[in-house]
Amino acid sequence: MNKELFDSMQKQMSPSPQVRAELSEKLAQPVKKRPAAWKKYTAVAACAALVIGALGASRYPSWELILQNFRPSILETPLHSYVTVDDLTGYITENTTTETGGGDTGAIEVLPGPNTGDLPGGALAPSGALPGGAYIGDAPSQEEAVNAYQKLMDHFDGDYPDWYGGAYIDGSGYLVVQLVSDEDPGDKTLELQVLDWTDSDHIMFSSCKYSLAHLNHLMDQLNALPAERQDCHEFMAGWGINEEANRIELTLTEVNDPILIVLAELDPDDDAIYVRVGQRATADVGGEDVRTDTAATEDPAVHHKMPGGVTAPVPEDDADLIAVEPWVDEDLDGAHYDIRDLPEERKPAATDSVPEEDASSDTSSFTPAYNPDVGFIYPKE
Amino acid sequence: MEALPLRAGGEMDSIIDRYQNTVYGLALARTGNRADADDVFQEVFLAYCQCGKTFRDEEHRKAWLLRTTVNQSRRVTASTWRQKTVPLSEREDAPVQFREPEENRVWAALQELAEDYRLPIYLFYFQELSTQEIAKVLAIRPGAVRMRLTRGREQLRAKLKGEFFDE
Repeated sequence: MNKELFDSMQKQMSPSPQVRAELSEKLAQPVKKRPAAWKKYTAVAACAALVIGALGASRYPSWELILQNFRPSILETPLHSYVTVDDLTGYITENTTTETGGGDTGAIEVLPGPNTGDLPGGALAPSGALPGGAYIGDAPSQEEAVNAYQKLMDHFDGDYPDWYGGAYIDGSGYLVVQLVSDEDPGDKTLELQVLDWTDSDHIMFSSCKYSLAHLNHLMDQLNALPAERQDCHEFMAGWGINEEANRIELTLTEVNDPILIVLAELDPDDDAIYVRVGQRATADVGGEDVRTDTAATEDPAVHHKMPGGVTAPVPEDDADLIAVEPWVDEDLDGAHYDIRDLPEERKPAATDSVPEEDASSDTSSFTPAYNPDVGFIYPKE
Repeated sequence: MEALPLRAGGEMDSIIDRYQNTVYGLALARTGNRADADDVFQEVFLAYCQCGKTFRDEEHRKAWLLRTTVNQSRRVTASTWRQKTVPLSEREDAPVQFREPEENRVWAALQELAEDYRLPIYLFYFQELSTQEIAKVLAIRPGAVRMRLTRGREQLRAKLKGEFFDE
């Protein structure tokens, strides 16, 4: 190809001075940065929300309702978590029915425990006597663990240290002492001290997050809650310390935001209080779902079947079909009673339901008269 | 050759002076008219000023400018607005005029080539780039560049009837 020709053409292919001047002018202007895409989309979304909100609120009452109920303080306030159960039947675990070493069982304390026959009058176990709902009579193999627990309680003397998270007897009969997690896992000073105090080889150790003193403090706050707040009083069914789970278990009959806010304030980490929410048990009678009328006013805890307890018959004047744990009469606790004090047993009347018959026609018990001279005398027919 | 800062945005006048013919020539070869070439020329250097890029060397900077010119030219010629409008004045659509008649003949023959052949021919003979450099600018393989050069040269020779070819 002709190189000179191409060089000449290339030199003529240059921008005009006007175009060059325009370019210099544009370059002299400050650079306008393009707005970030998310800013643009956020602005569009905000404008759309405002328009929809304004138009919708003026036309539809539902929007007004939503805007009226929009409470930023509620939305920003953390709520405590909870689990929902179908009904409250059997919701109280064995641990919560028996007073543990913590000595605080809150509303559950009013519940009579199952009658084991060990304690007269159906009284509750004394504080610190039976950890974790264990019964001496039921588990003789736990005796050594219970003794160790008693020694441990004697050292504490009702004042629990910050490192003590509770204790319970496991299935193998060992006393499991919960120690609050230490930053130094290699430090065995506490374990050695507990072993020295209890002088038992039926001791095991487990780590936990909360001390029993902390859980007791939370229990005090929960105990005071029903008296302080009416909205909490109506829905708090029962609560107590579960030392094995290292938490407080609280049962609500109904959940609402105010009580969840209070619980979130008491338990910021959301793991010291285990909240269960459920409705009272229902039964189908005549194809209808019968629900008690007094569910919101009564203490529902007394209507539940207790572990090891006996379902009481439903009183005639009580339409509540929920299994009821019977209150044990102090004189008839099954262990200490005098048989003479028992009410007279009503013997079944065998003939009560038998229709009366003509005695003359009854020959089943007839014995003919005997005359030594005549022999047997039979009545004339 | 004066050493210029490799970071984009500085010494713009010197950069434009050095590369304006390269950019403008490629834009003119791609778009075919001065009005569009003016737009492409300005857009390329505005983009260069705002890109904030630091180049490895002058070859890197030249390759970036050529590649941006190709992209900007494609954007201008492919725009829907341009395809559906008719220029108000003849100047906007007027062919490029050179001083010598033979130059106009060569340019007209070059413009009659398909785009795939026109740009390699222009970059090879006017900009004197190697096939490797052309391949980078056009984002095609060097073999394809050589093939397009061969076919484009044959078509150009046929259009010019063998004139202006030294080989």
